[in-house]
Amino acid sequence: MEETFKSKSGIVYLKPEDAGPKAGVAGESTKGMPKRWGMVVDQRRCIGCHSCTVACKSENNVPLGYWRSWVKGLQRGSFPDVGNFYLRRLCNQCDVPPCTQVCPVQATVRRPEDGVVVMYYGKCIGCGMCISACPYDARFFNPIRSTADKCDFCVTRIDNGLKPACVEACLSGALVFGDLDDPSSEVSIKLAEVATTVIKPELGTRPKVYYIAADRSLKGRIIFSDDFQEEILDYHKSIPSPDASYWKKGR
Amino acid sequence: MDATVLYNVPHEIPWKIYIPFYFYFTGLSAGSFILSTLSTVFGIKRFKPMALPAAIISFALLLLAPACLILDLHQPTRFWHTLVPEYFNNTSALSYGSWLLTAYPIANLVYIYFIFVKYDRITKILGTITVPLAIFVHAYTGFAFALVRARAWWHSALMPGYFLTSALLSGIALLVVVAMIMDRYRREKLELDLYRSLRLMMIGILLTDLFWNASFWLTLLVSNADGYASIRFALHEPLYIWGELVAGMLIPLAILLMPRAGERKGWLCLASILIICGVFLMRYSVVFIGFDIPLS
Amino acid sequence: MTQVTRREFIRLATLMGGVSLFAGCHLFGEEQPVPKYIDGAPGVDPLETLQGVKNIYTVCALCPGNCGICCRVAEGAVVKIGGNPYHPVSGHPMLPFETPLDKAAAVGGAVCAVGGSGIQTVYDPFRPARPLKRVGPRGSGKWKAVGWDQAFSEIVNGGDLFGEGNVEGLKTIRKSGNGLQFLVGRADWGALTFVKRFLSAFPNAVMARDAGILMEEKARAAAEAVFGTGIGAVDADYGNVRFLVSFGDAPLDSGVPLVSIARRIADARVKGPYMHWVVVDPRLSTSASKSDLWVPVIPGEDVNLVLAIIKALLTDHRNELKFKDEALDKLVADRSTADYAKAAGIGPDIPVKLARRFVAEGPRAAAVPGRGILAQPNGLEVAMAILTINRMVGSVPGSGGLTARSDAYLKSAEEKLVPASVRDLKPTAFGSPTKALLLWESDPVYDNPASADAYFKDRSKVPLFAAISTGITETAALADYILPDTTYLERWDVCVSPPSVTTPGVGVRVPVIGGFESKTGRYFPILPETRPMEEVLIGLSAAVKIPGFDPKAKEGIKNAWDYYKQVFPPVIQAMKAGGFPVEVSKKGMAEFMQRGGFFTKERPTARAAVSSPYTAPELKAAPGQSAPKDSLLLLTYTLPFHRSPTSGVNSWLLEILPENRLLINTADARKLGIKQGETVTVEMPDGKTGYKCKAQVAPGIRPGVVALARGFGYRQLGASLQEIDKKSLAADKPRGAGVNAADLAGTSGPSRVRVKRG
Ligand SMILES: Nc1nc2c(c(=O)[nH]1)N[C@H]1C(S)=C(S)[C@@H](COP(=O)(O)OP(=O)(O)OC[C@H]3O[C@@H](n4cnc5c(=O)[nH]c(N)nc54)[C@H](O)[C@@H]3O)O[C@H]1N2
Ligand SMILES: Nc1nc2c(c(=O)[nH]1)N[C@H]1C(S)=C(S)[C@@H](COP(=O)(O)OP(=O)(O)OC[C@H]3O[C@@H](n4cnc5c(=O)[nH]c(N)nc54)[C@H](O)[C@@H]3O)O[C@H]1N2
Ligand code: SF4
Ligand code: SF4
Ligand code: SF4
Ligand code: SF4
Ligand code: SF4
Ligand SMILES: [Mo]
Repeated sequence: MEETFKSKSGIVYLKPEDAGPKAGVAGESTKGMPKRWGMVVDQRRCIGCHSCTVACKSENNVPLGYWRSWVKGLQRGSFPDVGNFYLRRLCNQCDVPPCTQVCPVQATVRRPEDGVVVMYYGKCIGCGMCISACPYDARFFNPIRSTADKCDFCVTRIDNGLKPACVEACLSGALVFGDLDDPSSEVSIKLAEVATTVIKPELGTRPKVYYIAADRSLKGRIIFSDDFQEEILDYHKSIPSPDASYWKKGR
Repeated sequence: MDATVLYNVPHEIPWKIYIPFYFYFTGLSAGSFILSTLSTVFGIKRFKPMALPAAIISFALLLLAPACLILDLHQPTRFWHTLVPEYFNNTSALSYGSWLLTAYPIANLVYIYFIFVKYDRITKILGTITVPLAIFVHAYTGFAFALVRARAWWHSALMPGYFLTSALLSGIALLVVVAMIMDRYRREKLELDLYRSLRLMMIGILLTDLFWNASFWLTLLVSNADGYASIRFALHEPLYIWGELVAGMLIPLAILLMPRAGERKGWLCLASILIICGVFLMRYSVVFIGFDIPLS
Repeated sequence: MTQVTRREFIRLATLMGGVSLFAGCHLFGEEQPVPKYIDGAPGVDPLETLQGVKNIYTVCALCPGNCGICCRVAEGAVVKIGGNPYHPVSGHPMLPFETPLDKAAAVGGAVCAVGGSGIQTVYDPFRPARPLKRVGPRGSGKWKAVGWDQAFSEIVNGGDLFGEGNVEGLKTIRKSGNGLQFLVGRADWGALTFVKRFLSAFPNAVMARDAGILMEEKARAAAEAVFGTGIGAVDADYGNVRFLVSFGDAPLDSGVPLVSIARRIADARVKGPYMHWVVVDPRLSTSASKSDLWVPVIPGEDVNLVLAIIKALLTDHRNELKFKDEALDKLVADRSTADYAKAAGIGPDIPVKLARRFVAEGPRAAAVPGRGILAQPNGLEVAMAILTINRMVGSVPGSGGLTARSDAYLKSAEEKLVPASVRDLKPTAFGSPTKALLLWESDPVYDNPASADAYFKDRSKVPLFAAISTGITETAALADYILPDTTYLERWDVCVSPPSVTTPGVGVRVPVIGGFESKTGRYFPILPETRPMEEVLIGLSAAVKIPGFDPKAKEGIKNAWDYYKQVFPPVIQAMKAGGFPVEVSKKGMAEFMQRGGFFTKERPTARAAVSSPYTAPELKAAPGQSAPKDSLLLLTYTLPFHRSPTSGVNSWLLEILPENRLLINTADARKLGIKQGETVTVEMPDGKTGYKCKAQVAPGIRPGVVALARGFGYRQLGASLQEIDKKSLAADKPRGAGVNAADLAGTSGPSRVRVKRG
């Protein structure tokens, strides 16, 4: 069976030198250049297709039952005046990140050069304080790394001039990524032209992920309806996906 | 209007049962230590017999507490990272906490040595230095919660105070139990007065704790959506209502308020045990109700 | 070592695949437990994804969308699937063909959730890795691993193969001139030429197709009846249409392909020029929730809504119509617009308004039928009526409202590759008795569970049954032989685009993993004992001694590459003749293969000529259903992040929603006392068969209607025990969660069910 795997990949070239290019070489490295990366999530476009979710899992090797990014889907209204509302979630890359404030070892920090809140996995002691401190549930323990983990705007991609995996995958063009400090970037233009919100602005975390038309899905955050009764409990209980333990024991 | 979640994802709670134990043990330790210093530092002679046992209990618990903390770490072998000066994060309560958790047991041990060798003057000086450490070591855990603005259930100015008083409460309750055990085996019995004082202290602190709770309820009920949700969640949590509040506070309070309860050691002991459990449940419900409330 | 990270797993599976029957189970020296396939992060940094990694462009095959994808390959394993920027569907915007490959590497493309999860389809630990022969009765789940030669010789020569009596082999069948059926699912253009060529050697061979393909056939037939023969299926021109009415169609849930349709619709509705959009669907689909008007029609009564619109057009706008036909007047003679609307369960003003809008937008309006319509018993006729609305207001394929396929130029290539005798081999529904049945890329038993007993298990109807399959599917589980196929990332193909893709061109599927020996053209798949379908057929043909297929003969086709080497040049030539600026040379072909095909905006889409013969549908307003009072109408729908059955068990998809729940209107649920997430029993009106699932109580469905998502409730594909060589292999229960909608809904349109608590 030796010969089977002689050619490691890209068996489709006619001449060896015609093999596919190395990814990333063409992307200009942006490392070191001052930036302020941000994202606009356009909920008018978003269809809750989860392409971003799967792209993120695949790119970042996120274990089953854990998410760096996900989509919340809500249905609200009374027949026939009903609507579906989607909220595509990821780390907000706060400019004043509560998570970095509480980390005892500076294992998660906001990179001063581009504002991305990153993890230094080798430093993390796995205390979980950042996970409890993030107001957006954006962090989790990665059972394989045994450290905290989170969306980091795909740093390894953006440092090499590529777009984050989710932005690239998004079908409907709902995700716009770029430099908030560059007034000619697509994000800055979007922000200038369209009204946006951030999630929980009252907390003063100053997120760099902005949402267009997310208000209806945001309101479902905790309270569903005006006659607020047992709904928060129901809401909490009726999350349709099981947690990580399902995947750990089920197999 | 009707509403349904089409899909959303669950978030695993990052902490296990060790964390409430950790908070609980630091609290107990701080509580007992303060009790020990009542005679050595504050010169209340009545508590003299308690000084050494309280200090030893406090030290022993201090070994348990960090053990729980390390057990909960996902990278336990990296616990020393918290003591690397370069990694120190001046906005992190845990960063201070790690240093306190190192300094306090050492101070505590030295203090025990001097009680043991009966150098009262040095004991007093050491005690005076260590009391603030003890208070901080526990108060910082309160701050670790209070400073988390993400979770309305934790983010309250009352939290450190509540942690401290309940720590003291559990410390006293534990001492009552220990004192009764000592009474069994020692020839010279402890004075009844001592029990009476401890009982009065417990009543006072229980009332304070209930006051904290009432304060929480009222502020959360009229606060924003998150706060309101958190109190609704708490009210549906049997461990909080029946455990922490009823079994851990109201019943012991009722027992302690019974006339001449101080003399009936059985009742006193029961109340103390209930308090000890109740304070643990308080740690538990603070931690886990906090995580129960959906953030997104 | 039962916990492996995904990357490790992929690597091991790649490097050691050969030693195992099931890619995962024996790999780790443990037979019983399925490896804990925690798809997740290894300690290494994701930077790994940038160093020493190659991008290989190919075409997705997980739905009929045929999107261009980009596979990132590291150390011989696919580590990520993204979109191909050279492809009009996934490139936003599409990169010109001339762009050098290294520039393209910095530009990504879009890919849907299903397409992105394809890694798990390929590295599925439950893929059979060797030919299997059943040792128990059909469907008993007991197998014996056999060599290819044995499998070929037994299938070809027949005999008493299973101790159940004599079975006729392919050799006799070929001589007797009757009795071979090949059931093909969604095969692409290239593979189909090969299958047809194979079938040409068997006189009177039948190409059977499954419900899915027949659904597409219906869509084609409806379009051809309205717009003229040869036009093929039509779809909305999402980039240009100004007024769209989707009937039982959910382009934002299951658009073919979702990748480009989602983008076009989002652009049209957010950036403009604005597309007005009406969705006719009893259930609030994603599409309906993003539209201007949701028309929750009574399921199965769509016909009345369509007739109401036609009536309104004929009465209110008679003089503005571009096309009238006496047959149409007759069609809607019996009732008034309001009566029709009432029968469809909607307000009388809706058809009038829709008609007005249709006329106003004229050539840029579109009325499109989807599976919700086509699946109905009279689906073909209703679809014809819907498409007729377009023609009435002057909207024909190419006028802005609708598009048709633009690949007619491939005819000349087909003529070169496929013998004339089988070129127009018409697909037939499967189910008729035969002597031998071959099956490829199809899982009819999942879509029609009743066919298991009625057909596949019945040895008198199907004496010999071999499934060329990548998995032990519901259907393959009933086969006599499972001939393990390679996956879509391990094969060549020529892929044409569905009608919604308006940029003309042809996609090329190439293997992205495995080994290749350029001297002989031999391909080594990641599981060495699997073979591309073409090589399976070559093996069978050689055993039957069909001329032209003998790998030993000089002229014979030796292997898959040997065939596709012959396929690509005529395709490129045909494109050249069709007006594409392609280069007919070795270099041209290499570029064609490296970029996953050739697409260009330069060649204008030929405007399809609409011929005048028009076939009017024969429609009568469906009689009111005489159904039990307490029953509900069950329909099925598709989730944008689920696919059946090919990739429905991919854990990244299951993880989002591991099981389907019965969607029931809040009011109905209240009446029946059903609460959110509670278990309910859904049973057929006869009360005999029933299935349990959880309820999803929501306002977004017409009262009286319940719905189940397709793509759940697998019984096979790893969800149940299999015994190979007397070793029992563990099952992966989560793969079987939920119910198979087809168990209850059957295959033709909405059906009646009773729903009970508990
Ligand atoms: N009740 C109900 N039934 C329906 C429908 C409905 O709406 N309602 N819809 C119908 C429609 S439109 C469709 S398209 C069908 C879909 O149903 P199918 O056509 O059955 O589904 P596919 O996902 O195309 O998968 C076919 C089989 O091909 C296998 N396969 C995938 N890749 C390969 C490969 O490379 N090689 C081989 N050998 N096999 C492979 C998969 O494992 C799978 O078993 O369902 C039809 N049935
Ligand atoms: N993610 C994903 N995408 C896919 C597929 C997949 O499996 N997964 N499959 C692909 C294939 S093979 C095909 S054929 C296409 C099919 O794509 P579509 O034709 O869009 O088919 P569905 O999404 O199954 O059904 C469309 C809608 O019909 C509604 N419906 C059901 N019954 C009725 C009825 O009686 N009347 C009306 N008016 N509406 C009704 C359903 O609620 C559903 O919202 O999708 C393709 N795209
Ligand atoms: S889990 Fe890691 S990153 Fe988070 S606070 Fe603790 S040490 Fe810091
Ligand atoms: S969203 Fe959470 S994890 Fe992300 S930066 Fe803000 S606080 Fe940190
Ligand atoms: S930026 Fe990267 S890590 Fe963050 S959600 Fe998108 S894909 Fe995931
Ligand atoms: S990929 Fe885009 S459209 Fe799909 S869920 Fe994510 S953000 Fe929304
Ligand atoms: S729509 Fe998704 S599954 Fe279908 S071909 Fe495109 S990428 Fe593949
Ligand atoms: Mo289909």
